[in-house]
Amino acid sequence: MSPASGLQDMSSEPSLWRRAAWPARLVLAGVFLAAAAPKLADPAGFAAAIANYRAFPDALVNLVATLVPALELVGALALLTPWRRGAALLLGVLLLGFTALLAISLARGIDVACGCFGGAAQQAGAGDPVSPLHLLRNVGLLALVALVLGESRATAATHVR
Amino acid sequence: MTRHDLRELAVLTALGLLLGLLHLALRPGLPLLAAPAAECSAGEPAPAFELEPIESVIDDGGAR
Repeated sequence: MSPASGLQDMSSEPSLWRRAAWPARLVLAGVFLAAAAPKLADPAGFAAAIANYRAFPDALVNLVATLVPALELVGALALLTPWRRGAALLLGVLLLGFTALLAISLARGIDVACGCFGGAAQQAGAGDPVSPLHLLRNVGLLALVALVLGESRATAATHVR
Repeated sequence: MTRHDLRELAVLTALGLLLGLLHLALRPGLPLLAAPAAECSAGEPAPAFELEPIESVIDDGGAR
C-alpha cells in the first residue's frame, strides 16, 4: 500500500472503536482512581476488609493492602497515556483477581463487606456486602478493558498499514 | 498480545509494586508482614453460654 493511501486512512473519520474507547478509558481511570484513593489513605482499614475474605495468609494481608491500590493507581493513570495497552492489561488482571475473589466468597456464602472502595465505609457500619451485583459490575468493567484493548490493536494495525 | 504489550505490563507492574512498598515503608504503624490474628487470646476467654433448664424443653413437648 502506498504512503498516500496510508495518509488517507489516518485522516479519515475516527472509527466507532476509537470514539467508544476514549469514554471507556475515562470511566475505567475514574473508577480505579476512586477505588485507589481511599485505600491508599487508609491502608489499615483496607487490610481489615481484605482479612475478612480469609483468602490470604494473615502475614500477607498488609502487603496486599498496600500493593493492590498502588497497582490500581498506576494502571488508572497509565490508561490516560500512550501506554494504555499495558495499563488495560494490568487493570484487566486486577479485575479478574477481584472477580475470582468475589465469586469464591459468594460460593462459600461468606457475608463479607466488599471493600472495593476501601475499608472506611465498612468501619462506619455502612458495609457494602458482596453480592452478584458486584460480579456484574466487574464484568462490565472487564468489557471496557476489552474495548480499550481492541481499539488500541485496531489503531496499531491502521498505523502499520 | 505482543511482546511490547508484555513489556508495558511488566514496567507498570514493577512501578506499582515499588510505589506500594514505598507507601508501606512510609507507614510505620503498618508492618510489612502482619502478625497472625489470634482466634482467642489467653487473657480473654470465650464467652460463656447459659444452659437452658431441661424442664423448659420438656414442657414444650419437644416442639422445638
